[in-house]
Amino acid sequence: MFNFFKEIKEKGLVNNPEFLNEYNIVNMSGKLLYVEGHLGLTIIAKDMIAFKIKKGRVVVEGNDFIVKELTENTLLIQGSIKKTEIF
Amino acid sequence: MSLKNRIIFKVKGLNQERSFNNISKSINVYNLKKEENGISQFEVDYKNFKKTKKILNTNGFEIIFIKNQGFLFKFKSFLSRYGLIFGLIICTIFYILQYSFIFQIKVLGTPNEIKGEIHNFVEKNLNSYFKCNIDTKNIENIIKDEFEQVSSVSVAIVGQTLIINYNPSTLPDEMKGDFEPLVSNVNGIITNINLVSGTLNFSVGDIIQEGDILVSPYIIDTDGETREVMAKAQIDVNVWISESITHYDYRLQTERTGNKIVNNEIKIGSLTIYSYGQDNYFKDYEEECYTKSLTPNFLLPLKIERTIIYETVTKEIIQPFDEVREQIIEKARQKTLIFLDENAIILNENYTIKDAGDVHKVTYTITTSQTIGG
Repeated sequence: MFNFFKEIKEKGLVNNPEFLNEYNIVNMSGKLLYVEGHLGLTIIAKDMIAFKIKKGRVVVEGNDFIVKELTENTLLIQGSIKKTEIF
Repeated sequence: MSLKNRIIFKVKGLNQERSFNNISKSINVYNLKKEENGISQFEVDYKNFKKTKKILNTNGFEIIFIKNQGFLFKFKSFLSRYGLIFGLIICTIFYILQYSFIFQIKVLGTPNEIKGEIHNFVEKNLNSYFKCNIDTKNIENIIKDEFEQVSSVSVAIVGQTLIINYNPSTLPDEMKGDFEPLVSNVNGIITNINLVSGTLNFSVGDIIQEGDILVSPYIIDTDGETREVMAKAQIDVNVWISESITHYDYRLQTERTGNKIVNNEIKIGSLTIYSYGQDNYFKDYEEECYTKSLTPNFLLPLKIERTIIYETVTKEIIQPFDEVREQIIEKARQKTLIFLDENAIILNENYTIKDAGDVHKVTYTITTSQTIGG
């Protein structure tokens, strides 16, 4: 099966590919945010969703957030996404 | 209406993120929305309902409501509408019952002229409209027996229609119809034969008489079996037509003079109630009598009987045959010509005269050609 992330990683100039296996975040036109490899939600609010990743935390800010899908390691957020920050 | 069967939970509680993380480890969570005052709404698959509820209870959540969504739940709610279910069952039973009967007969095929006849015949011979009682093979057989124009027929029940599909008879024309022999209607001699079908009983040169069977309505095939066919042939026959006139050299001839006496009698039944007329004073006479009813009913059988007496005179005629020979021959010819068909071709004419004292018989014969059959 075609693996979108694997294809992109092969194009990238990174010496240590293992480093790229921690998480993937895809922002689709500021309306959908797809996350792979999250380690649990920390904040769920209408204007902010935060979740843990390996060695850090991601905060997504915006409006009218809905968690469209939440599984053990994937997350799909729908809403108006203004900012995605990694701490 | 979504086809996916999901359970919508609306819950209230603290530290919801942690709880959703716990739930999401084994259950997929959809459409998670955070509302005011620690209230959240989310969806899980129907199969995870009990598991989710257990986790929520364990984490001290207050479940505000649980709502079902999807086709299965709509269907479940439909099952509780007993009136509707009862109606459906009744309709189903009625449908099954009425489906066991045929409602119409449809006839397809050519020739079209017998469609109506077949339809009426089948309708008349149909024992029952119940599908199980209809023997389609039997219907096929009786149609084939009844209608000669039908060579093959198939009967089938399609839905609630009895469909009869028939094909026209493929027998050649000469093997259809009434198998009557070709019979001679003249006396003569056969000059030419053109046989179409049947078995020939005469050959060229044979003399035939009126009533002879010229062609029999059968053939014997290569297997030696006799098969009925139409007797058909074109047979040319030379026919002799003869008429005679007898002439007497001496004869007595009675003629009416023109004088007559009329007598009338009015009768009731056989009783004469009134008569008028004259006495018969003729020496030689002839009588003519006729009766006519005067009333149109039988209550009063009043009738008039009229007798007409004609005066006659007898003359002695002496006319030697030799003086009128040609006229007598011509008269015999004209008498013979009466029996010839219109446009008949005359092949030959002759006459014979037989004398016996004062009596002379002239027989005139015309030979013509006729065609029998064709």
